[in-house]
Amino acid sequence: MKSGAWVLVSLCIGSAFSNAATAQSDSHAACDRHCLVGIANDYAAALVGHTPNKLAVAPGVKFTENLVPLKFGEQGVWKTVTGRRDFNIYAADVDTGNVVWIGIVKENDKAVMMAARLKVVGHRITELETLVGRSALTGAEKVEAPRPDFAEGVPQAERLDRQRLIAIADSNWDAMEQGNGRLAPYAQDCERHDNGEQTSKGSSPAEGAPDSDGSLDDRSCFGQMNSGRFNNGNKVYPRRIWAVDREHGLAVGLFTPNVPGNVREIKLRGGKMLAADASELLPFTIQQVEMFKIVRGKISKVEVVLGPRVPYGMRSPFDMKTLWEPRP
Amino acid sequence: MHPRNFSLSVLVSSILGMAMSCCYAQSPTSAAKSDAAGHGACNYACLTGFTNRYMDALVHKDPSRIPLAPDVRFTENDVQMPIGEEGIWGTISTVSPNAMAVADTRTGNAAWFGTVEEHGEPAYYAMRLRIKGGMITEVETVVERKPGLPAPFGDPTKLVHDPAFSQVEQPQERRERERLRDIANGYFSTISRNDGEILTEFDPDCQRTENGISTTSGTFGSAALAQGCEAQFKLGYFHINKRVRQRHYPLIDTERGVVVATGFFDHDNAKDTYMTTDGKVQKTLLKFPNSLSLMEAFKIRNGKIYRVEAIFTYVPYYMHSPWPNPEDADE
Repeated sequence: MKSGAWVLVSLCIGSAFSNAATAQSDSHAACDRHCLVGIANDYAAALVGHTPNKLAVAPGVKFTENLVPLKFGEQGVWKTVTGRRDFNIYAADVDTGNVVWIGIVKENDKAVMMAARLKVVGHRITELETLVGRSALTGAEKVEAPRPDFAEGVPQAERLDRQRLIAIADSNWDAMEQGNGRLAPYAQDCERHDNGEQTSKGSSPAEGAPDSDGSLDDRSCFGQMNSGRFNNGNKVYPRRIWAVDREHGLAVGLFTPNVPGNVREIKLRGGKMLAADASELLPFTIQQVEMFKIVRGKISKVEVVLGPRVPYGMRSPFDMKTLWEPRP
Repeated sequence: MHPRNFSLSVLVSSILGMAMSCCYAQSPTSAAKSDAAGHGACNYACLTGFTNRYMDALVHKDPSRIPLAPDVRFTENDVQMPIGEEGIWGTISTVSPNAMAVADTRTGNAAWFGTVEEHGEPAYYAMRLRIKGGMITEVETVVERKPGLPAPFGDPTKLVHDPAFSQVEQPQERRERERLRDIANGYFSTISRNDGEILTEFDPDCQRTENGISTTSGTFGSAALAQGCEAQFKLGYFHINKRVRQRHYPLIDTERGVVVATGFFDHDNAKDTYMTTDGKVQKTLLKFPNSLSLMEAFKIRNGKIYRVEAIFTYVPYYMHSPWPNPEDADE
C-alpha cells in the first residue's frame, strides 16, 4: 500500500500542497479540494480495480464497512465489487482533511450506492469509513446521474461558516425526532433521494407561508418531518459530521436513527394517533450517510446512502473508540 | 429513513407462571462442593431455574424480579446495552413455555432456547446467563426476528426441542469437557470452507434445527439437497462459510453431553457460485458480505453429535462480539 504514495503525490500536482510537501508532510492542510477529490477518485478506482496497493495508506489505517472494522483492501466490498457506475458526488473538507465520495458500485454485478469518508493526513489515508447501501430501498440501478447541485459552487459572499452548516444539517434530525418541520430550514425546492431513489414529493412551504399542518399526505422534505410520523421513539444518535464543504455548501455525516420498538401508537401533529407499523415494533438501528446541500441557509437537496438495519444500538468504532483489535 | 421505509420492509398472554422458586442456596454441603468456580451453591436445577426466572422478569419488563449483579453485562445481538431498559426488554409481550434450558454447573452458565413475541410478532430467542454468587453477572442473547433476508424461520407453534438435551448419559457414553468442546469445535471447523472433509464425528441419526426448522430432514434449505448432518457436510453445502469466528464455548455439561456455543458465520461472498462435492454448481442466496451471529446447542452422545439446535440472526459482516474470549483458538 505504501508504494503508491508518490503516485498520489504526483496526482496532486498543481494543488496547494505540491510545493510544500516536505515541510508539511504531516499536515492535511496541504491537501486542497482538488487533491482530496483526487484521493477519493483514486480510492474508488482502487476499490473497483482490486488494487489497494496503489493507494497511499498510513500504517494502522482504520477501515470500517457498515460500522464494522475490517482489513483495509481485503474484506467486505473489496471482495465483492465487480464494477462501478459513473455516478460521483464529493464533499471535500479542507479544514479537517476529510473527503467524502458517494458513488455506485456493483457487487457481484448488482448496483449498490455507497459512501466513503477518507481522512487524509500527510497525503496518506489514515481512515476509511464506508457505508454500503444494501437496503431494499434502492434506485442504484436506474438513477441516471447525480443532481448537479452538489457540484455547484457557492459564491464567496454567500458561503456560510462551518458551524452554521453543521447546525443546519443537525436541525434535520431535531425536526425528525420532534415531529416539527419548522425546526429545520427546508428550501421550497428541497428534494431528497435515498440510494438514488426520490423519496420526497412536492414543495416545502415558503418562509412565513402556511403549511400543511401535519398532513401525512404532505411528502415534501418539510411535510415528512412535520407530520410527526417519526414519533415512534426514534432517537438519532450519534450524529457525526464527516465533512463540511463550504465552497459547495455541503454538510455530510453519518447518522444513526435508533427505533426502540416500544411505541405502539404514534402521536401525530394535532394529536391524532396512528398505529405503528409492525416493522417499527421491534428494536433496530439504521445507519445512513446524508449529504445536505445548503443554499442561502436552507436545505435544498439531500442525498442519502441508506444502509440495512443493524442490531439495535450498534455503533461505529469511530464513535466508540473501541474494538480496534487486529483481525485475523 | 422516511415513511416509505416502514412500508417497504415487511418485518416483520402473558407468560407462564415460570417464577418457580429456584433452588439457589440449597444445602451448605452442595455449596461447598461446587463453589470452586465462584458461583456458589447453584446446581443444575438452580441454574436452569435462573433462566426461567429471567424470562419471567423479562415478560413482565421488571428486572427487579431477578438478582442482577451491580456490574451485570447484557448484550442483544452483540450490542451491549443497559439491562431492563432497551432492546427486547422494551418490546417483549409473550414468552413461550415451550423452551429448552441447559446448564453447566462448573462454570455457572445456563442457556435458554425458545420463542418469544414482541408486540405479538414471534421471534426466536437464545440466551446465556452466568450466575455467580447467586447473582446474574452476564446475559448474552441472540434474537432472530422475522428476517428480511433469506434465513430459516419456523412456525413457533411447531417448535420441538429434543428431550435428549436434558437426558443424563450413561457414564460410558460421556466424554470429558475438552473432548466435548473439540467435537463441537470440529463441527464449526467442518463448516468453515466446507469441502467435504469431516473434522468431527456425527451420530448416524444426527439432526439439526435452525430457527425452529429442521434443516437435515424434510425439504427446507440444505435438507433439499441432502438428508442428515454428515451427508450435508460431505456434500460441501456450507462452502460459503469463509470461517466460523469468535467461537465461544461457555457451557459444557459432561453429564448430559451438551455444549452451547456462540460465534459468527462469515459469508464473504467473494464469489456468488460454488461447487458442491457432487460437481454441481450452487448459487449463493445473497451477493454481498454478511455474517450470522449464532448460539447453538449440541447434544453429544458417545462422542458423536446427535442433535444441534441453533438460533442465529444476520448482523453486519464481521461484526464482533463484545464478549471477551479467554481461549480464542478458533479463527
